[in-house]
Amino acid sequence: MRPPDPDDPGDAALIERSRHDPEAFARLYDRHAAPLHRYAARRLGAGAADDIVADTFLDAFRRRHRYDLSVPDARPWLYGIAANLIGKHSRAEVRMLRAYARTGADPVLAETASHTDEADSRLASAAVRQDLAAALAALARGDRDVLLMIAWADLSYAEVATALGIPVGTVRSRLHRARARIRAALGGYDPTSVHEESLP
Amino acid sequence: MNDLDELREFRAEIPYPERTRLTPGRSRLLSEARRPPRRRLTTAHRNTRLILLPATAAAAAVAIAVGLTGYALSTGSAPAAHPSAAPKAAPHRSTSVSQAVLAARVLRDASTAASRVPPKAAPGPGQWIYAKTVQYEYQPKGFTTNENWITFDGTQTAYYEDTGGPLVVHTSPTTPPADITSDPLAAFNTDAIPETAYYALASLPTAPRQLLAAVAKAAEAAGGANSVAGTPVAGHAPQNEGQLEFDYLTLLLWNAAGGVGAPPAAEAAAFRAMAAIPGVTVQQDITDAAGEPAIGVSDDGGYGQLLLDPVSYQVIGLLQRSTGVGPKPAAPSSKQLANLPKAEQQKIVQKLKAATPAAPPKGTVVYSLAYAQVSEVSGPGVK
Repeated sequence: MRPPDPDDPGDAALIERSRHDPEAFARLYDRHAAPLHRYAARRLGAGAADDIVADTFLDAFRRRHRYDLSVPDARPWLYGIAANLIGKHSRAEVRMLRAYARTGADPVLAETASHTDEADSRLASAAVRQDLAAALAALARGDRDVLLMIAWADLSYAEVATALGIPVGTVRSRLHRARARIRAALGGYDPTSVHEESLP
Repeated sequence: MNDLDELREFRAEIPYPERTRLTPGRSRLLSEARRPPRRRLTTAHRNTRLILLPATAAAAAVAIAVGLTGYALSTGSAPAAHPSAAPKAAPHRSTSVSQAVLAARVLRDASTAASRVPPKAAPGPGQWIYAKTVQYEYQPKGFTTNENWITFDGTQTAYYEDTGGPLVVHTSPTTPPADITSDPLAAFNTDAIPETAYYALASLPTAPRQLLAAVAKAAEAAGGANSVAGTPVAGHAPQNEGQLEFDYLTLLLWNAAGGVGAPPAAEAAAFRAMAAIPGVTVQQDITDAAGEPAIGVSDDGGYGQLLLDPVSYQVIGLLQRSTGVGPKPAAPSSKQLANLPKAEQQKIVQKLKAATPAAPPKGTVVYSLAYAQVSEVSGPGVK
């Protein structure tokens, strides 16, 4: 067998290696699966995230020959594949966000077993969050992808552009639009208001 | 708190997953990684792609020269101008001539054999196909046998995760039905499965030059050498257009053979076109990974071969010989090298070099893959 690599190779090096040593791809999984899972779980719940992560890596593995090795960080690629899979659940995502906005109970959080102290942490900002949920639900899917990749996955504009296969200018305009809506929703915060879509 | 901060707090209670949550996904990835490469040629097959060595230069140089001439001429893009089949492309040495004659005869016979197979309708997209493959790797694994099931359209696959373990049926969530009608070659480029290979081959023109022109275009659309050959590492990729076309046709035929084959007329045309690629050679009286007799057809002097049954001329395997030149060591990432003194950077490069195995002796079979059985079956798990 190949001796273990003494230095931590970059993602691109791992992917290149996996082309003749397929099992090397598992190291990419070990590196990125957990944050990707959390990202997907925040959007759709842990159960759906299990499948999305597994399928993202299977898909990525099968496409590894087409990976552009000049891009050292594989995260944009992986999040892009995940975005497609998450997009297939777009209706469920919106439904859960709307339910949260309407009832104050988040189906996504409820599904997360290890979440126990919700009462304390959530009380103060419960109403704000319901507004946020409503605003997120009202976003176009592409706008939501851009916004959450930046806010939750810490991808740069350029990385989001790579992930979604869109120009950086489009990332900027989508983000601008999405943030305007979020700000409007938060700015228009009124505990007694009915949660309707707040448009700029 | 601005809007983005507020958003970062949103569902921030969701934790990173427990390790156990990630284990099944990792196992699925690993079992996929351990399956033989049914769907596309991997770099294991392409690892030791044509690199000219003094000993083989005599035969191979002619192939290269012819191929490069072809490339230069064909940039005019008119299919009719494709010179691969041009008779006076370059002078041949006597050994090459006899090889060329032999290759032409074998491929002509293969074409004739294919054209005699009675045509039948394509199976439905959900038709299950069972394939038993035998794979040989020089090191460290030796021979491994694999059994896989796949639907014609590739949306479902099935395999045993462990010997004696349960059958795993996997439904691909990401594969929309391939668009096999409007642009079958693009569909094949997106997903190389029996169905797309079947229709891509069926869509090709039958005249060799037109066929090769269409293949060159499709290979280009697929990302050229990088996509077909795997890595763009020096010496691994096809060296000229003829090799790119040969490799792409090999990909098509191999993937089709993992299903119901190609439509007979299309397979016949593909063999005829292969015969028109300059520098194609054959090696007779060899065996495939399953131990069956085979004829090897090659575009690079015999390092990479497409194996045909010597009687039926069906596609039965792939074979790769060592060129004696090892893979390039992995390049360190710029992140690894950032802010390091030069001596440290060199140390990293040295370590990566040391971690790269040396190539086996030239001519050694380093990889071989054969279909031991391929048949249409009624469902996953059925043989």
